[in-house]
Amino acid sequence: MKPAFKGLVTLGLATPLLVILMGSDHKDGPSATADHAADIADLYAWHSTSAGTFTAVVTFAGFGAPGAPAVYDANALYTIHVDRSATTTFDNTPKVDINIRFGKDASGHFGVQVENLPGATAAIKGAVETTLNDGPKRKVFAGLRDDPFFFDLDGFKSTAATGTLHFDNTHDTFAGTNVTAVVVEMDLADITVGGTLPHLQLWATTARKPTAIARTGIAPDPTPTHRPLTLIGSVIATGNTP
Amino acid sequence: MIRTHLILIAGVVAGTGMLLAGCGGHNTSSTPAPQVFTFLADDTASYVRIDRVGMPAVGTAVITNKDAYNDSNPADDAQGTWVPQIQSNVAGLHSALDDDLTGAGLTPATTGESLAQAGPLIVPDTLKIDTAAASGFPNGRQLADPVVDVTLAVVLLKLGTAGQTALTLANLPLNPPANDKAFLSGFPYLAAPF
Repeated sequence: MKPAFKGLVTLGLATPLLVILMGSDHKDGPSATADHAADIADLYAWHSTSAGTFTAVVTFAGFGAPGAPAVYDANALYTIHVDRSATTTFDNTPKVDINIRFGKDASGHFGVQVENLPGATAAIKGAVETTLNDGPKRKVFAGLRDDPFFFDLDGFKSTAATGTLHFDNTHDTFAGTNVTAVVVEMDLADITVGGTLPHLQLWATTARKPTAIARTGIAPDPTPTHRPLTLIGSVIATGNTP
Repeated sequence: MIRTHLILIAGVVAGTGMLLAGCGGHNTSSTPAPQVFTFLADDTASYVRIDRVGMPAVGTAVITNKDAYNDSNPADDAQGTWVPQIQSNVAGLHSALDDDLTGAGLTPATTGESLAQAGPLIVPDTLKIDTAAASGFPNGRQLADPVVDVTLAVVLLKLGTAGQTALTLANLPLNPPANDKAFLSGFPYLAAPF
C-alpha cells in the first residue's frame, strides 16, 4: 500500500522527475561520491531571534550503518562560507570562512578545530562527540548523529525502475542511518555585525590536502561502506533526459 | 612496650602519609589533562575542492556537470554559468510531468515561471537568510523543514494559482513529513545516532 500522494501515485512518470526528487546532496558528483569523508550530505542554517543565536550544520559521510563509527579525516577541510549584506544584494564572495578540521592527539583520539567562528577570539578546539563551549552562545559539536534528512528515496528508486510514481510518505529511506555532523552556534549579533548586515547567505565546501598522506601518514578514508545511490547516480549521469 | 607503641604509631603515620600520597596521585590522574590535538595548519588555498552544497537538491537535481559545478563558486553561479543547464533540466521536467500534474488537479508552471519562482532561491546556490524575518525554509533551512516537497512545489507548480503555494505538496505530504527521530530541543539539535 502506498498511501502517499493520491492522484499522482498511479501516474506514469518519466525519468526527469526522479532526478529532482532525490533532494539533498548525498553522494552527489563522481569526485564527491568517491571521497566519503568529503561527501557533503546537507547544509542547514537558521537563526533564533529569541535566543539571539545563529546555527549552522554540515553533515557528511552519509548512510552510515547503525554502529558504524563516525568518519573523521585529518586531511579534509570543511568550510562554511558566509556572505553578508545590509540588503538582499550580495557580491557573492565569502566574508567569513568558518574552517573545520579534524586532528588526533597522542593517543589517537580525534579532536575538532573550528577557526573563524564569528565572535571567537581564537580557534575553538577539543574532543569530538562533546559540546565545546566558548562563551555563552558559541558552541561547537562534531560527532556521529542520526541523519536529520528525511525523504522516500526507496520510492524514488522504485519509480526509477518502473517509470511509475511510487512514493510512500510513511517511508523515510534515511531512517536508521547516521551521518557525521559538525554543528556550530554563535551569537546572532556577531554574524550580523550587530544587526547592521542582517542578510546572510551560506554555502559549504569540502576540500582535501593532496599531499597530506605522505606528510602526515594519515590516510584518507575514500572508501564508502554503503552505496545505495548507485542507481540514482546512474540516472543523473544520463543527463536528466527521459 | 613503649618502643613497640612508638613503632606502631610511626607505622600508622607512615601508612597514612602513603595513603594521602596515593589519593593525591589518584586525584591527579583523574583530572582530565588538556588534550592536545594536532591539526593541519596548511593554507586553505592549498587544498583541492571536492564538494559544494548550498540549497538542497540544486547541485544534485538540475546540474549535469557535477564535478565542474562542485569546483565552482556562487560568484560563478551569479554570472549565469549554470543557468543553461538549470533551464534545460527544468524544461525537461515540465515536458515530462505537466500532464501528470494537471491530471492530479494541480496547475503546473511554465518553464519560464518556474525559473522566475526558483531562480532567486537557487542562483547563486546558497542558503539565503533574512535574519529580520521568520526562520524556515527557504529563509534558511531548519532541520525539520520539508525541503524536498517545498522545492518541488516551487519548481513545478504555478504558485499563486488555485490556492497553490510553496507548501502545497508538503501539506499532502508527498514525502515523509518528519525525521525518524525527534530532534533535540537544545544544542546540538541532531538526534543521537543509531
